[in-house]
Amino acid sequence: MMQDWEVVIGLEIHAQLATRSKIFSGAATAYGAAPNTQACLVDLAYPGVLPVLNVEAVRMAVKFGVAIGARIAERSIFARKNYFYPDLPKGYQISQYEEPIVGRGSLEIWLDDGTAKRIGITRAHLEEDAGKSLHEGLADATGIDLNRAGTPLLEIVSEPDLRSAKHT
Amino acid sequence: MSLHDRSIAELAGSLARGEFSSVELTRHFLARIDSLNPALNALITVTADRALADAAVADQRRVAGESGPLLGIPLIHKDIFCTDGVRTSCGSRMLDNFVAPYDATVVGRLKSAGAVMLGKANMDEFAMGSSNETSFYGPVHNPWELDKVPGGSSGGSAAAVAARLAPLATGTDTGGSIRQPAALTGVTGIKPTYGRVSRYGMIAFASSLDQAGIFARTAADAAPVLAAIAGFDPRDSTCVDAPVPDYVQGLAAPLTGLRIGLVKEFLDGLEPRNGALIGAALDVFRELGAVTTTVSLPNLPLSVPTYYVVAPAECSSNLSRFDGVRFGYRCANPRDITDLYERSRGEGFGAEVKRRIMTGTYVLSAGYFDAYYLKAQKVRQLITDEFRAAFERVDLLLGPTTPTPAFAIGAKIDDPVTMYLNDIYTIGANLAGLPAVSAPCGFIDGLPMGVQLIGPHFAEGRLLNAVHRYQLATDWHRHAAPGCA
Repeated sequence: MMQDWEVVIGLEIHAQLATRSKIFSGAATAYGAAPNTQACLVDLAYPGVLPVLNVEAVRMAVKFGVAIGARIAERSIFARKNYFYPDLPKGYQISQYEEPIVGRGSLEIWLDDGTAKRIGITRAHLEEDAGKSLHEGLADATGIDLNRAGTPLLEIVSEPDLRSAKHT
Repeated sequence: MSLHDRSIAELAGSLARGEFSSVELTRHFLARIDSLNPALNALITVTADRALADAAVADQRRVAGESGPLLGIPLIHKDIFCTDGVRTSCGSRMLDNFVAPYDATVVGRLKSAGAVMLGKANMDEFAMGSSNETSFYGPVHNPWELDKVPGGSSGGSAAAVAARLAPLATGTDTGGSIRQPAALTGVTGIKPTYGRVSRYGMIAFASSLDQAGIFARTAADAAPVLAAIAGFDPRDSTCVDAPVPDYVQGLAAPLTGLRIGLVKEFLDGLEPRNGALIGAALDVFRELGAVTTTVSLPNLPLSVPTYYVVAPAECSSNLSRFDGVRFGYRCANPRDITDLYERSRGEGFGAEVKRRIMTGTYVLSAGYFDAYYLKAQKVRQLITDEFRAAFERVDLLLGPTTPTPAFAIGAKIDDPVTMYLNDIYTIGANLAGLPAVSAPCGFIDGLPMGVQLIGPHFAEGRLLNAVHRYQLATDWHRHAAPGCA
């Protein structure tokens, strides 16, 4: 049956940026801390707090953009994606929709036969991660760990240029 | 002269000369709150013990050699500003149990300057209202006539300053919430340029419009307060890193040659007695040397419908965080997460807040975004452009602050559109991010009215200067509400 089909793959990758603090707050991003010990008032979405963009996250996104030969937006827009979920403290995720920081670029990969293949990158944008809902060991409740809330992510979207699982 | 009738400069002078202490001054105002607030309902929380402790600290700082225009001066904060360790309710059942764990930048800066917080002022719920009737804590009564509204949303702050419960109060202005209540209670209110004062710690209503400001009896009293709260804050990325001029120094400049534009659209259909007051104010400015002309901003009449798309849209998103999960009101015994959301928000928010959340969610929803929100943003840009063009011809714009004097409590609360039209003259400055001030300019039927001046971006100094010269030439700001002298 597979013979009648062509495999066409495009990827959406949420890459965590290795910054020391979160994308919109000064809280640490280190892995493995006890629940809710790395969530400050901004991450907890307390009344009155405001986001301040982490310049290091922007620098890393730009570096990625340069590496794939992409256009870097001189003017880039953050937007709110609104939905209710217990591990999304603000009730919206700060992400990018129009004018992402990294525009169209490409990446060369080498195939088994030694030839190069160009994989188009549609865009890459900055966004914050949500927290975590915990169910293990809790009988009638859901736990919320907001350590991850606000962790910087670079969402990289590829063109549907991959033709085999090996290409990924 | 009673302590509560003195200017900030006089109080600061007396404190400096040791004529009385900040503790004594604070006791005086706390006693006034005790006797007058029950009839006014201007304060949600009175922080008497803390105020006396802070006053004692201010007195010690003075003994240690410190000085400053606000050191030991009492004030009241609108209950929208987070105050560390003190309930910050935002006028809502949703935050009735919320004790803020930090100070807003405005609060922190005034504390550093030595100002003493007496308490937290009543306000429309989440700053949504023009009459202070949407507060969970009940309406504020206008000191001039207790059955009248004080305006809103900063109605408690305005009533408190009008009744001399404090010489100063903070407020916020998203569509007129400082200027309209200032006008209706006979005090001076200034809304600075968007970005002039940090919004950190100020509970967000409509983030692109919200701005912190001040109520005082005069421009001269407001000047040192604005100097204390203005300026860059790294915690608010929309706060502009521009130098803060010496507003106090700038008060006395002559108005010779100041170009004042009378806004034509504000005069169309203006009630004749209101028009006469505005005309008289303009005459005073002419006598002070100002040159007056008429300016037209053809799209300004679209301000109200534009605002009532933009502001609800932003509020619907900003108020999503009140979900019963981490702080604030949580419904009893939720069955599941949907029930928790629905009942916590359904029970925690009042009718006006729900109306705006629904309107805002609708105008942002797929399929309607372009027709409503995007179009409103385009009109907003047109209005902003018209203001910019006007300020190439004039230095300040002048008009009324409100269409009418204070109306009766209950008169408009069931008719939101009529209520929204109260802000017809004030909303333009918010849409364009401009600084604006309302100052007392006379009375209609025994109730105070305000004249509004609007300036170009960062012209707060010019506004305070103009109002100060006007107040040296008039005595409207000296009238005290009956029973509050």
